[in-house]
Amino acid sequence: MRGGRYILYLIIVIGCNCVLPYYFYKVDEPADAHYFVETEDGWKIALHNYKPSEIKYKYPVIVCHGLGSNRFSWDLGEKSIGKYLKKKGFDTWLIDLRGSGDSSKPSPFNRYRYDYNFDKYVFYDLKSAINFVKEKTNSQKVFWVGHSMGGMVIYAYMGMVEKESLKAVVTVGSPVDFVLPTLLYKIAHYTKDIVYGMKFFPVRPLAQMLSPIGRVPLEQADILVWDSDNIEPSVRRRAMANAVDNVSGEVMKEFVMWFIKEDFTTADGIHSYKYALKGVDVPTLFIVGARDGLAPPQSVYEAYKLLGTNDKKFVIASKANGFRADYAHTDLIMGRHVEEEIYPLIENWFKNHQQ
Amino acid sequence: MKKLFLISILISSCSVVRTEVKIENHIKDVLTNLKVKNIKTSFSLLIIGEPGFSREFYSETLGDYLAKKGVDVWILTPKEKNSFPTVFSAAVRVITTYTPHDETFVLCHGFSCLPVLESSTHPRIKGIFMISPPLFSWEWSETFKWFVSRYESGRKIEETLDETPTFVKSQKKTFELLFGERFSKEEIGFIKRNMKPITDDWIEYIKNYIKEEKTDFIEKFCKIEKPSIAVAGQGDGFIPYWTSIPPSLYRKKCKNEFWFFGRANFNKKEYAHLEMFLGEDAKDEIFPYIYRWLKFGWKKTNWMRESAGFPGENQ
Repeated sequence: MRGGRYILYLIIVIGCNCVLPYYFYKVDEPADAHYFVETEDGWKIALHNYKPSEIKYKYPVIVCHGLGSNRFSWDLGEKSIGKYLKKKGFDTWLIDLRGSGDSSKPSPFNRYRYDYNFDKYVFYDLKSAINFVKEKTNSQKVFWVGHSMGGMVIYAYMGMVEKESLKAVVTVGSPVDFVLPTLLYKIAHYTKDIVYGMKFFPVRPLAQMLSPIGRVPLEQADILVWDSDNIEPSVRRRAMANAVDNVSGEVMKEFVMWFIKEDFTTADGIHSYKYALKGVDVPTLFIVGARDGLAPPQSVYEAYKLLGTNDKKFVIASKANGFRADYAHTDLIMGRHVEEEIYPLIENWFKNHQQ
Repeated sequence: MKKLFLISILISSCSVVRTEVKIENHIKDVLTNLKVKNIKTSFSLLIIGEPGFSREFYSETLGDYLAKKGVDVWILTPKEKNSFPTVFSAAVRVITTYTPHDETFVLCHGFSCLPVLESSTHPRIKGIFMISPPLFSWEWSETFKWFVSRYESGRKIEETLDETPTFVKSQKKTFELLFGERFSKEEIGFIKRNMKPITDDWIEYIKNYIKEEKTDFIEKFCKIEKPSIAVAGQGDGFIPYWTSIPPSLYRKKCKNEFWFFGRANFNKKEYAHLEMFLGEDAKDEIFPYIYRWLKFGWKKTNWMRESAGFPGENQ
């Protein structure tokens, strides 16, 4: 009986660890309005609008998060691209892709399942979200800024679905090449069987459970996610409690397939998202971190090279280029100096392409 | 050893014997040989130093480590770019004639790797190890471009390095941005002591190289018919690792190897340009890697090439 009691204590402790940090480190919801749009396959996609009192620019901006994340990765209280762009006069919309944030999430109590892959984001979520924002703002085109996978989905969308709705694009640490000589990439090869066996990756409860120690710099996180010196400890903790979401097994399978096949393709492996960029003439700014272990400059460069327009720019965020730090993957959106160094790059790119 | 004119013999505290050897009468450059007394060396290695650094910079760091491991180490820092092929051939001839080793490995650093690529067909080369070679000229940092534009013939290198470019917000010294920030005062003193003027032809060569964005040496690297490897430090602000290991390199299914040192590969830090040679971390992580490759790694490459072939090689 005593053993049972301990198990009960353990469950309570783990449960509290998963739930309480979310309430302790909760980010206040600063968006002005929240909308839901239904995709053609029946998922509800959340869009959070920051509307300036005076809209200075013709086209609205859609901001997209990366893999295993949600809108909070771009919107952590004082670090908020929504607030920043709103202040500058942009009508700004933050999107939660399916399975993350306030969008439909799979659960045993609803009809949604972890059966969606990267292609569903591209062919359903983006299409619905872009059309909805265009309609709401009465605009023919939109600006898009995406971090990591949030940039990859727009590469794919522009190449495969349509590019006419995009006025200009900024991708932040969004790779198209997956064959870098790193041990992390090699690990993807060795762990593919585990990945293929998983329905989903429960990274949200794990991150929330670890968020109380988010202030402590962890070597492993430094390699994969961020540079602890370049993100305030409080921001790290809030990011872990709010900005992480579970990942569908099908999405991970597609990523692993790209690692193995060394290509960036649709799930069936037939159509290359990468080479479709040749036909894309949308002005694009590529921002990469010099010390990004997940999307190093080499992995993004091919997208820059292939893009079928000369109106493109490749910026490496490094000290030697005048930035205050050598940026890692997540530093690019929530680092100490993003408001002075990264957000203005995005703002100016859109400002220069508003006509 | 009759033909060798021994200028001086210095015995270091760790029993590494340092000998300075004149290559040939008409050649100004001098070779430094490092050897541990009374130990039979297993193989020889010719280190080609980067223009701007003295032979001592290499002999007191990597050279010292490898010599203690039983490597017959030779160091050359070519004074002039234009005479490099002649000097290089003569140096290899000296090493392979006057030592028991019929062939020698070559290790080059930074910009010195470009002329090494041109001379890679030399029959007496056993393998080539390149540290931060600028194989593909793209996306140089603003600091580096500024440094090269300021560095002119006759100007002392320290004068340029002590200035700070106006676009650098954090007031970091150019030296730190280019070569590494984590050096102790002693190490910075050591580096500055071992910096030497660069000749006009080297400056011209480097300026032309970085001016022509996207000059591509990948093809040449992949075609080297000897076991070869290119490595880079992820924190290098002088020759960034994306110029040493550019995307086209790994897409080419190159038969030669490449790797980089940084936390993404579970190293202790992202190594900067000179951190690959200085400090305890380099002794723990970089030097053993180099030694292992020279001793065993090249065989794997060679074996793979001879027996299994590489994708696309026979096409």
